[in-house]
Amino acid sequence: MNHDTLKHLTLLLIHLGLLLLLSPFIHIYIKKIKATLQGRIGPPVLQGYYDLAKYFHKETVVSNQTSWLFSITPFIVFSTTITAGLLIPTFSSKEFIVPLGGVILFIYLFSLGRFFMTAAACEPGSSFCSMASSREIMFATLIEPVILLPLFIFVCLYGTNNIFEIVNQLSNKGITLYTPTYVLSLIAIFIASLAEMCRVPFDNPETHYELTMIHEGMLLEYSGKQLGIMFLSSWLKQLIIISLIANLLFPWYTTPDFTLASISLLGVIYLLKVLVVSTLIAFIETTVAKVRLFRVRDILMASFIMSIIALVISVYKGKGLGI
Amino acid sequence: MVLETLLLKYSFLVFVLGAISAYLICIRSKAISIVASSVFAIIASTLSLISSIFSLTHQHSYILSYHLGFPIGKLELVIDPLSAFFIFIISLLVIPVSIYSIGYLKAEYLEKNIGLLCALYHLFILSMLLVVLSGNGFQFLIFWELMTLISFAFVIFDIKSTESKNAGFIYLLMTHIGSAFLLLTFLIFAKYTGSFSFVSFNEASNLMPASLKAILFLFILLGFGTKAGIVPLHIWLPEAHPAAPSHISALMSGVMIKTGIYGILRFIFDFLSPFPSWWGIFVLLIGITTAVLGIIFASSEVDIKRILAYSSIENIGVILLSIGASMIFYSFDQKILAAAALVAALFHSLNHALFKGLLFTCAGSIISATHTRNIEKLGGLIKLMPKTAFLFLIGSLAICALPLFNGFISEWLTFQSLLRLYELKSDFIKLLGPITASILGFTGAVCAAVFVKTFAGIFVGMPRTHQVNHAKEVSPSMSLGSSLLGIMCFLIGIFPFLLFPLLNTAASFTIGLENINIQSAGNVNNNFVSISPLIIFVIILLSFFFIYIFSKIYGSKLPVRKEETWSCGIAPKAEFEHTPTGFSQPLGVIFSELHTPESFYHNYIYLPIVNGLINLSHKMRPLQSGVLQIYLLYIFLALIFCLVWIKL
Repeated sequence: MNHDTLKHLTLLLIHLGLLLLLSPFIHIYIKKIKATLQGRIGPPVLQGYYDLAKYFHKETVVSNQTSWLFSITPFIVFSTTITAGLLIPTFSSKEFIVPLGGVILFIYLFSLGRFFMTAAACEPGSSFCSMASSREIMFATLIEPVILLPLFIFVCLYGTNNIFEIVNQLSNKGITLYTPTYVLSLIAIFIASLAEMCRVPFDNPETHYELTMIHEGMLLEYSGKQLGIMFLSSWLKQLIIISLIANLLFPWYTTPDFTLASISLLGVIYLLKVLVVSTLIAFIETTVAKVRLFRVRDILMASFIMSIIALVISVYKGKGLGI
Repeated sequence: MVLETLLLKYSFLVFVLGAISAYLICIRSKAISIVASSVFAIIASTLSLISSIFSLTHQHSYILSYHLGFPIGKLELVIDPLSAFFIFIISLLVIPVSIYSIGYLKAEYLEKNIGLLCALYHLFILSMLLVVLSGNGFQFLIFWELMTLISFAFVIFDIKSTESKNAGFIYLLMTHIGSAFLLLTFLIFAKYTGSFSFVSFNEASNLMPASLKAILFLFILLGFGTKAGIVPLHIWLPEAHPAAPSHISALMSGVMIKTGIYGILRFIFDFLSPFPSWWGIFVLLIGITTAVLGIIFASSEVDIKRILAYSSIENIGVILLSIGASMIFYSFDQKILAAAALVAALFHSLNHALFKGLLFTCAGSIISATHTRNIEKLGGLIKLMPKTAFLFLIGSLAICALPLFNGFISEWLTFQSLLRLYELKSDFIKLLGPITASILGFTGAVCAAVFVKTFAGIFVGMPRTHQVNHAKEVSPSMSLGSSLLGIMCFLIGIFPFLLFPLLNTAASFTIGLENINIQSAGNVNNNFVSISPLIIFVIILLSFFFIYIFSKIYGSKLPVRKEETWSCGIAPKAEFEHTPTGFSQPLGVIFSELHTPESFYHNYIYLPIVNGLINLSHKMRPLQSGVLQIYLLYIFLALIFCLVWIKL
């Protein structure tokens, strides 16, 4: 094995380790900030890890109506999510070994996980699970075009499908990067991402009430280890999306040298970027109320129109339209 | 004689022999007739499959002509990479469907006229092969009609039900409107070139004025679009496909509607090029409309075969999207990009044939086991029919264009083509590319919703009626046929590059390029396109095993306990679950504006035309006075008119 491949593999392992280890922390961090803003103390910072350990030590009970599909789903959701995690840069925007795929694969891997999750949620025959599943799949039809269009704008502007490459090109632009097209697209991505991460104003990750639940509702019949894996996957997905936004927002400091100092420095910078975006999410969650189920369309459509405006600006820039 | 033409000839011979022998054997024994018919069909389509692979790898074009005597005259066949590719698709689907049909016909049609069904099956496949091979407009129409009429016979095979009769009537009517436009097109071509031969059609483009070409373009879209099922010409499709036997539905949805795509490609790229860019934009817009509306219609259906028929409409839309992109690139003289977009279209045609074949055969298995097409009445079949459930799941994942399966690869290529429209120097097209691409993402998501609903409705939860309880797993030949299709869907999803040589040849021939490696040629100037399905598969597999082993080692060692689902203290009942209709209700609410019922097309598009025609014929009625002298006057006037016309 030559030296370069070894380097890439090391970076890959650090990348995976960061995603897996950081995701429970970020989930609790958002909760903690929200609690602080609301004048509560909030959970201890390590609560996410305690929770996972608790789920893994509990007995797993499944409904007797379920089949192999229900039991296999947590593993599939986890593996598709972590694979999607390989398609985005975290602390390093260097490609891992070979190009794996771009934005389309990234979004479609989440869809693959969602297909299994929604189908399996209907298995126990509980009305709460199937309702949540039906709502989740309806949301997906709204989220997918809205998150794809702004990503496509980046793809078209930078002539590449690869998210690593997009971030590298963005970082070369320096501070001139914040053009109107860029800002509008990023806002659109951010809004759609909130929905994809199942957060307020689209879904409330804190409740199990049947009127509000969407993502959590699908997990109702899971228990023990399976539930633990499901939670880990959804926290992982949240961190992956936050990392994507963070690296699009601050694309700098993502090309480490292969030294311990450089890698740990960029690791800290990456953590800071993620914390900034997470704090922003916590602020939004405390100031905005969850919208009615069928009003979700209006918010997402607004975000879609924002990205269309971004596209129009990028096409007609400097062509005498006064933009 | 060259090998591939010889193979093709033998394959035709075997199809004819198969038709005759199936009919004759049926007089003695129905069971033997079914097996014999399938064996003949498998041998014949294997021959044509090998022949098509040969002609694609050798990139030969042949023109064959046989003298067949009076009704047909000289039979002209053209084998070139484009027609060879469609032969490849047809033959590839026919093999597993024939295996499937052994068990299916035994289970469902034993008391019906098996001999006729099997004989027509052979003739149907033969007519599809001859349509794509035809090198003469006149014969093309004959084979086209033959294909339509035989499939019409399948649609009305269950003649006792009024549903079949209605479906057959609409099918016949719509396809004949389509054929009328084709006839008109061919006549106009023949007027300019003086011959019906496709070879002479090639020169027609230089002879015609631009306006006439535009009219012909619309005629071609109407004619072939009716067959392909573009919205709003699709109304026959959801009626006719469910009415036919399931293995025939697989062929009709999988390959018969693709002959429409073949016709569009053949006429636009071969006979009418060069063309202006608005043609491409027009096709692109039709494609996106068809894709969106097709899948939205499917979302509220509960009849499994109608869902599949509507999803065929969506997939035709996706294919037209990449054809439209290819036409736009072609008109901007970006031939490599045009070929790349065409690869997406051809690849999706192939993939759709495979996964739609898989889904229709599974649907046939489900209907055969439960005797209902209504998914509201099913549920819980995953335990009774585990193999079919697994295969249906693979088909659903493939049709939703999810990674690891073949649908993803071709839809991914379609996305790439649409996004690269941004590189062209036209503001409108720059806007069009990314927006249509994101709407394609939308259809993918709705498709996932539809197939989660269908899969969950059929297989998951508790049985909603007693019909389900006595369902059994289907016979081995049916499972084998579906499994072959499932394996192909998966293998193409992991190793798509194995098919690229064939696709490249067909696409670059159609565009008129030397055969080059389109994938790498498109990559030279930038690294826009890159994906590694095999590595993705390996990574998913590794992480799957990682978390599986981790969860086995770490934490509680207690075995998994099975308990009844908690339903607030009462015993769980099937009524507690969401029905498929309930499941897709939020989707229906969100997209209620898009959700035009079928009656919309009848009331606002077809009825006005029909009423107009009836009014017109009422106005013409006074001409038919019934008085002999008046008729003689007509003849006299017509004669004078003709004489004057000739003199002028």
